[in-house]
Amino acid sequence: MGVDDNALWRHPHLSSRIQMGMERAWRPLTALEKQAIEVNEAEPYRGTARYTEMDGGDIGFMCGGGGGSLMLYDALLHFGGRPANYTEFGGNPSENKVYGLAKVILSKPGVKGLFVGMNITNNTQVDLVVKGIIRALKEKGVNLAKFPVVIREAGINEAEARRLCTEAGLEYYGEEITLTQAAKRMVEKMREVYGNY
Amino acid sequence: MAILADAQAKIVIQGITGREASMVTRHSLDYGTRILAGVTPGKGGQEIYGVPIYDTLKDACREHDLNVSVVYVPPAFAYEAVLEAIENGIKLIVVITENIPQHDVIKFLYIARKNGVRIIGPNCVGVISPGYRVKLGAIGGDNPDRCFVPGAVGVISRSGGMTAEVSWMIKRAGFGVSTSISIGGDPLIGSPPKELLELFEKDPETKAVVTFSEPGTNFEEEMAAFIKDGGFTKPLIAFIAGKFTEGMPEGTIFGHAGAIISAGRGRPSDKARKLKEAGAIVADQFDDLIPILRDIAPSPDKCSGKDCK
Repeated sequence: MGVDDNALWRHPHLSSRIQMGMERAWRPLTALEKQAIEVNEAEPYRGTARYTEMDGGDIGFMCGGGGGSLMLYDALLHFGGRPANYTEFGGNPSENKVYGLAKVILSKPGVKGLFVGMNITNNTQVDLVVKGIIRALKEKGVNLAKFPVVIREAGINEAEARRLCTEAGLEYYGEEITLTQAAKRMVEKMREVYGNY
Repeated sequence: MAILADAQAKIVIQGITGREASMVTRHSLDYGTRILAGVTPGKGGQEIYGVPIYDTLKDACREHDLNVSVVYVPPAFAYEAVLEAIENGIKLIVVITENIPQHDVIKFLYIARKNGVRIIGPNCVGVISPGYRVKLGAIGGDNPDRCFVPGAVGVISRSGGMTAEVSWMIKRAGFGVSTSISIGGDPLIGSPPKELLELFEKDPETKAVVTFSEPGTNFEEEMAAFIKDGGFTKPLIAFIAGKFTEGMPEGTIFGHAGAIISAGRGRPSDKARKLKEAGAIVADQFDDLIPILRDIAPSPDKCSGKDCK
C-alpha cells in the first residue's frame, strides 16, 4: 500500500507502520540513507536534505536543488565522473542540516572526492552551506591535498561563502563559471590527484 | 505584455505574515512589485511593510480590486485558501506551498479549471516578468536582477532553482527574459508547459521559449504534439535533466516528487526524441543553451516590445 506522506497527519494511526523515504529507494534503505533521513527529519521545516546511495562510485555528490542535482549528475557522468550517491538539498537548510548530510556523503567507503554544486539560489544562504561542509570535512580529517573538492555555490551571501572557502583552502566558484563547467572541473581535479582517473 | 505577471497584476498574498511570505513581500516591494493586500486570519487591521492585512480574502476584496493571489499558507490549510481565492473571483493563483496532500490538490485543480481560474504550482517559486518588475513569489530572492533581465525569451521550468539558472544562462548568452515561470515539481500541477506555450505563442514580446524538464509526466510529449499541430510556432529550446535515472530501477523518485519514471513512462530519452521530431531544439548539455540561443536569436531590431534589448 502506498501512503501520501504529505497526508500522514490526517491518519496518525498509520505513522508507526510507514517507513519514510521508501519512494526514493528501490531496495530496503541502507544505514547511510536512514541516517540521512534522521538528519532531514531533525529539522523538518528548515530546508531539505535527501540522500540515495548508488552502487560503487568515488565522487561524493552533494548537489541541489531538485532540478540542479539531476542536471549535475548527468554532467558528471558525461565528463567521466563516477558519483557514489545521489543527493538533493536546498530550501535554505541550516548549517547543521548541511553538516549532517555532508558527513553521510563522506562516510560511504570508497568516496575519494566531493562535488558540491547548486543552481544560483533563490533563498538558500550559501554561507551556511559552506560552513556545514567545512565542519564535516574538518571532522572527517580530510587532507585537501589528496582529496579533491570543488564547490559551486552562487546566490545569497556568496561573498561570505567565498571568503570562508578561501580561508579553508577549498576550490570555490560563484557565478564566474556555469554548472556544467563546475562538473567538468571536478572530474579534471580527480584526474589531477589520482592520475589515470 | 509578457504573460501572467504583468502591469495588470493586482496582487494579494494569502498567509502574508509567515516567515517566508513576509520576507518575499519585502523583496517584492523592493523590486518594484505592487502588493495591494495581504491575508492572515486574526491579524486584520495590521500592516506589514505598508501592506494592509485582512482577516479574510473576502474582506480584502471589498477594499481592493484584486486579480492575482500568491498562496503561502501551510499545507494543511492550502486547500481552503485556494478555494477562498476562487470564490472571490481571483483569476490567477500562484501556489507556493510545498507538501500539500495530493487529494487536496486534485480537488482544487478541478474546481479551478471548472471556474476558469489559472493555477501555477503548487510547490513552485513563482513567476517573474522583469520588463515590468513584477514578481509573484520568492523567485529571484533579494536580487532578481542578477538572473532576470528584460528580454524576449520565455522560460518554463519544472525546477524552481533552475528557473533562475536557465534565465541566468540566457543573460550570459546576451539576452533576457519576457516571463520566467517555475511550474512546480509535484506530480499534479495547475499549468503544464503546453498551456504556457499557448500563452507565450500569443505574447508578441516573446520570440522564443526555453524549457527545463525532468523525468516523469508526459508534459514534453504534450508540448511536442502541440507544436506538431501548429499551436506553437516560435523556436522552442528544451533541456531535459536526469538522463541517468533511465538506468535506475523504475518507480524511484529522484529529486522532485514528480520526477519518477514508472510503467515505462517519463523517460528523458523519449521526451527528447518526441520534441526533436516536432522540430524543437534539444540541448544535450546544459551549456549548449548559450550557443543555441545565439544561433537562433532574432536581431535586436526585430524586437518590438519596449523592454527587448
